[in-house]
Amino acid sequence: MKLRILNSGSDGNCYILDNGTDALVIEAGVKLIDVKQAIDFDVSRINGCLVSHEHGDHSKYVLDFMKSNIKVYASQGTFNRLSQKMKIDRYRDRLIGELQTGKQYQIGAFKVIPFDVQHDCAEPLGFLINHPDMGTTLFATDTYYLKYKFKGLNNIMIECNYRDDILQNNVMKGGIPPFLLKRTMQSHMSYDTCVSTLLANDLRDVHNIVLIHLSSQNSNSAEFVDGIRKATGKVVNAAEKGMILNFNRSPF
Amino acid sequence: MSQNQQTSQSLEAVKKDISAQVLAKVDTFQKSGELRIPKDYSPENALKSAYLVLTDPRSNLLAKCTKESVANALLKMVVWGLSPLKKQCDFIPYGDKLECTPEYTGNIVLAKRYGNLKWIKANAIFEKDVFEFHVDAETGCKKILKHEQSLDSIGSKTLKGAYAIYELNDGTVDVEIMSMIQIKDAWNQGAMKGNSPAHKNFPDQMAIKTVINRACKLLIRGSDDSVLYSGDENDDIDPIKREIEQNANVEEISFVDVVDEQAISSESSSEVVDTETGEIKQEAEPAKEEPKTESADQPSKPGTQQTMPGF
Repeated sequence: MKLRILNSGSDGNCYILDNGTDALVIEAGVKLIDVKQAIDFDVSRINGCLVSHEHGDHSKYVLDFMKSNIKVYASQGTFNRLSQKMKIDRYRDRLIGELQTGKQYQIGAFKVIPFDVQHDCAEPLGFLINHPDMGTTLFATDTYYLKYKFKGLNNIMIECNYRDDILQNNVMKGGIPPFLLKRTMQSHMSYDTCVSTLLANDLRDVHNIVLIHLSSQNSNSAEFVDGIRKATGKVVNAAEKGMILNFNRSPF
Repeated sequence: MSQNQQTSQSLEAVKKDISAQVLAKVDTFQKSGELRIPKDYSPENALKSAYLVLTDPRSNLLAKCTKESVANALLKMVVWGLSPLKKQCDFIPYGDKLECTPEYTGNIVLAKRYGNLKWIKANAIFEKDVFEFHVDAETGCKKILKHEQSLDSIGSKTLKGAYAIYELNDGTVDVEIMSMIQIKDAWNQGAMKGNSPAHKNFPDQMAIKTVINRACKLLIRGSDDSVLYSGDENDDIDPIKREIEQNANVEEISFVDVVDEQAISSESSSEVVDTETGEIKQEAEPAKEEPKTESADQPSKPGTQQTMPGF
């Protein structure tokens, strides 16, 4: 299984778990053409697209995805908000998969358990995803903390948006208005919370930790990767546009 | 006997009742922003120690005073941020009404907390002491030029007066000086009019309390509540951190039907298998079960699965 990162951050999010026959798209925040390109225009191998919440950087191109017959999975709250912005209702029967937290779904070859996360929007979700090739992957973005811990993880994609000191410094320098300080702290995951969240989980079988949704201003990817590598002893990458990583059940 | 037991039981009930009431009130006040409690003060601890004092059988104030006055006195104590066990405040009954009054130690606490007081030191001036002071004509501040004391002079029951020297956080040093006439006038305001055994036997200690109270009074009354607001920018952030600490990573989520797969690579997560199969079977099971889990994917989750056919 490969993880293809088409983009990560507030200018757009899209990740594809792809083993050449099955592909699961996570987030619809980049143009469909980019997705098609990443999977050699073999749209039929897309099992579905998970969308965490309705903010544009995660959902802007949902309608285009549906037009290409890709079923989109998200919470009811997210779909309600999306239907106010775009004409997705006509696909309700076929291409809208409403997810409820805590239940387990089979999406093509992937098993998915959606869970609630903490973000300033209608009904945001994180996902626990399993595929025989990949094992179990945690996907959590746009959440200032996770209520849950997860068993049997092999790969982790987790938001590491900002670090307190960088954020505070930017506010002091005036680059960020003070009201955004609170908003950021109450909607995105800090480096410190990311570390403590990772350490709260059993990481013994984890092969990859991918830090996603880094803030363009309030982060330092080199230091984040270095710090989390030291804290966890795992292979750590900060998500970058175009990055492709091996995402397997075993590290080999 | 049994009556005693009964009253002690009902006392216990009153205690719990008022404790809960006052704490609940403090809580609602704090939440609605009507009350700010100093950061270094624990209302819970103070309320607990208040009950120790109020239920002291020698005075038994909790039984004597009305519930409302007790609740009000306790609330007053919390608003001031004083601890009765440290004798920072006293509970005094007026008939069946309980009142909470700050002790001189409490006044020091308040003056330090709100009035920028850095330290305060008070001395009694005995009859045979040599004492000289000077008032600065420009600032009105008093300055002690000489205070000579000897073992012969201290301990005399006759006092000339008392003074308290104090420094504020900005470095200002000032003195409060009171003559014995002033001190006695102050005592006359009290219920015992300065005739209590304490006043008679330890006039120097009582005089020191009086002069400290006077020194602190102006500092306290002339203070603002800025202390309560220090670090205010962080007030919105602390609750977020608290929320994260309290709620993060508590519940556990995992794929029930792929636990077996994981059990092969890590023996740690064998609990589920344990309950179903027992320990000996476990070793043989995973090898057999691995292909089974895949085929069993679809029907394995009761009623919750949605199947998404490939395109």
